[in-house]
Amino acid sequence: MPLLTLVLQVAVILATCRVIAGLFRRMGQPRVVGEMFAGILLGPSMLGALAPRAEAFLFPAASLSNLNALSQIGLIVFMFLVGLEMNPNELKSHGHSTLLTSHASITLPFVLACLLSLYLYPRLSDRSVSFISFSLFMGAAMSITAFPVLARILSERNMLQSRLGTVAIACAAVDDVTGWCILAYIVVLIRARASAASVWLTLLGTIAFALLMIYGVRRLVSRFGGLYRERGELHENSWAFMLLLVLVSALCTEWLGIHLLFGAFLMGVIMPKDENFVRYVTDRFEILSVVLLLPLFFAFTGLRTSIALVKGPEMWGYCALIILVAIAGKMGGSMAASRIMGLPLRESVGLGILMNTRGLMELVILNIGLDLKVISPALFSMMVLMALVTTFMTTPLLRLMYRESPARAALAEVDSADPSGAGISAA
Amino acid sequence: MSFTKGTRFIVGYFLFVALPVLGLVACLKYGHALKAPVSMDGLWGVRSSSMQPVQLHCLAEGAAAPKSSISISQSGKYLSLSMVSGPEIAATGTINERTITLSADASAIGLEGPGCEAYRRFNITATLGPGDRPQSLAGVLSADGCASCAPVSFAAVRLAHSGSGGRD
Repeated sequence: MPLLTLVLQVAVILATCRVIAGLFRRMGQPRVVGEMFAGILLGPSMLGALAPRAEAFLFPAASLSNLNALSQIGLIVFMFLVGLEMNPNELKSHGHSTLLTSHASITLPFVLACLLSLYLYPRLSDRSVSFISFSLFMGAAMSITAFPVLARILSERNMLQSRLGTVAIACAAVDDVTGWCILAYIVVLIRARASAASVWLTLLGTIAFALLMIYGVRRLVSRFGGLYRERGELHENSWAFMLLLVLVSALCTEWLGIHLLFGAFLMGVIMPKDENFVRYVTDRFEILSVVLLLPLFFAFTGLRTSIALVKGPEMWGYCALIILVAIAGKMGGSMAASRIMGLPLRESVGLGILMNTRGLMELVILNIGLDLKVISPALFSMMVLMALVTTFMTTPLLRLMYRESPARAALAEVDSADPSGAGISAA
Repeated sequence: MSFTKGTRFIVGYFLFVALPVLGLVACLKYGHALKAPVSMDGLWGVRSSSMQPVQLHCLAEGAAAPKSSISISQSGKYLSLSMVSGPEIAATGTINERTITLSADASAIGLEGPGCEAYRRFNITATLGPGDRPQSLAGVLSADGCASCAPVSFAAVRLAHSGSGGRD
């Protein structure tokens, strides 16, 4: 009865995610933290340990492929929305300080992650994975920022035009695009390992596809913006066509040897960037993707996360080291670079805290890494814990930072930080 | 002494971008020579065993019988072993060069039957075959707390890898 099992799974996941996320909201945490935590609760770390029979009944191994497929569809739509909200103009330099801070917020965590890889590779990897793949993946995973969460926090507080807002949004945009490009390169390296020729073929194919999208398909999809401006809404056929383009783009990048999600992301990036249009499309898609399908992804990630694999003081030591390096690289790097460029201390610290938020984007990257076997199950669990900790710490740190005047405004900023949690969803 | 914004940018870019990139290149070059443990995760079939029925019954029927399969999950040098069919037997351990050592508490295994109380802890020591992805292993299974129990030798062959790795 695979269908019944799937429906039961979706119902249980949805209920658990809403309840736990609601509890986390009461604690002042973004919903995404609650949903990440709910995923872990449903997995072997909690439900599997306390009630193994219930876990085996709810999530039999044979049924997980269906759950994964459904969650991947949700991720395709989500990545499209992430790309949609990303304005290429934000990637352009806003001056010296932004240029330096954005580059430093990538390179420092990246290099620290590679240095950490020197220590972790002989301990938590094996010879089926090359050091280059392992360290580049760790670098990409550590340097990512939850761009959608950050954008939502800033826009809801009308901080996008502030100096901190401008720098943060530009840095996050640069970080994410760079992170995804590096990840795409790693995927190409791993999947096309048979011969050097196939690597080049994939790279050239990807570049050709990106150019086709930017200079060809972009003109086509700009019609959506025009139709929306004329009528104030889109016809059903337009929605169907838009979804079709997203799916075809995702399939193209998968066929090229990278990943479904890159195509969906690129499709979002080339969409019209009129603010009203972006909000209109996001509102239509988010109920399906953010409310229904993304919790499945959180649950699927939780089912793959086994904290029991992090066993003994040695393993917990690695985990603590990963968390420390992640924070030092991202928060410290952004903070130091912005400070040296003359940003006031308070804003520099605020920027560091914001940039350290990894959220859902980190989980997406980690799942790709686990699928590709670049990271081992224990390392995956440690990195999930790192994502959870770095996302969880953002709100309390911001509260602490803005405790003094103007306290009310700052607290309001923290409290409203991405109520939807997944970043794309509106309040 | 005050610096202009341009000077700060150059100094900052050198410190926070150029130097780390150089460090990255050096790190990748140095790390290329590092060796990780051999890959052994996946499904293994126990092809031969000198285990006697009297020893077998304590491990529950068929658990470690010849031709049974074991699943090994690997996270670097850390291993966990479980039986694919039969009762749940989970052992954890490590790999050092080509030698693996695993152990499982008898309580965790859930031994049943008369005479089994002698077994407190099971240990597995095995040596892997050649290559970065060895296809065979041979070793012994011994029990702590049982002076009369002779170590049991066994051999296994790899049935399947758990998936493709990130080799390039």
